[in-house]
Amino acid sequence: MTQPDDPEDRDPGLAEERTRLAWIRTAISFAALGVALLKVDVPLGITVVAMVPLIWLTGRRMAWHAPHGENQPRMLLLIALGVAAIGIAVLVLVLTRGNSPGFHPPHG
Amino acid sequence: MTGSTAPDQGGSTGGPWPGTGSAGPAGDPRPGTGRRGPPASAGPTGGPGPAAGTGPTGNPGPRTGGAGSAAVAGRAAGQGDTEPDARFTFANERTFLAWSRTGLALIVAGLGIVQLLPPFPGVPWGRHLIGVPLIVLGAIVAVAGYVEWVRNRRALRRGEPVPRSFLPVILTATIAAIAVISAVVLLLSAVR
Repeated sequence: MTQPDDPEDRDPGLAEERTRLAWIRTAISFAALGVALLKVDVPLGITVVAMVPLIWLTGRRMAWHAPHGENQPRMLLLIALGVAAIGIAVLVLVLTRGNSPGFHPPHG
Repeated sequence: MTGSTAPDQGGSTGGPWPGTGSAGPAGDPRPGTGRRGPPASAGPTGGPGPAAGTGPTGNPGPRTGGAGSAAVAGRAAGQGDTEPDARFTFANERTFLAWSRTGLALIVAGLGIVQLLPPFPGVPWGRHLIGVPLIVLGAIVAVAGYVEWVRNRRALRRGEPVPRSFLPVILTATIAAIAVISAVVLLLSAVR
């Protein structure tokens, strides 16, 4: 609850815009990782890319309802667990897939 | 900062608690940060309840600048928790997002080292030795970032000082260890 007369609560200034940009950066990070993962493991890459609109929409929803959103902790927990799950999946991928030859740039 | 603080103090003057309007701005040594309120200058109880605005020190509630907003928030929550300044909530959220991105970047780095780097000659497990800790660190950082977000949120709501973050220590120690491992792997690879 905020006091409607309080100008700082009505307009938190650029903090909201900074936060929205941070959400967009995070979504782009997920997109970049997802596309990179497509090269290594297609289903995992698709899963990560599919998370991008979810994060994007969450950020927009946060911007609308923040800081009073009731479901905020759940969504942030979901994102944190998502990153952790990606980490575990990548770990399993790296440990189970034999020795990769590595990337050799073509030269001629 | 001053432009946004002035109407806030004016609001408290017009509030139904007459004692705070005059004592609040004078008793607060830092008008610009009056909404956050350093823990030293908070009232004896530190509680942001309706009584905090009219405490003996004349200092308004720990975070809320005016007695009016403190009372409204305290009444709404019913407990000691009040909604902190939106800017702090946003900053806390951005910090969480930054840690999430850090975790993602660490995972990508680990994956890239193991999958894209050509194997070290003579040290076939060298890439895994460097990449796997990075990936594990990425997952830990993401979850720890959420834990810190929850802790900071609770502290902001209760007007307590924000707890010290343990993430920089974890990050620094692990990256330093990975640097040492990388040096050892490179040396072994050079020797053979």
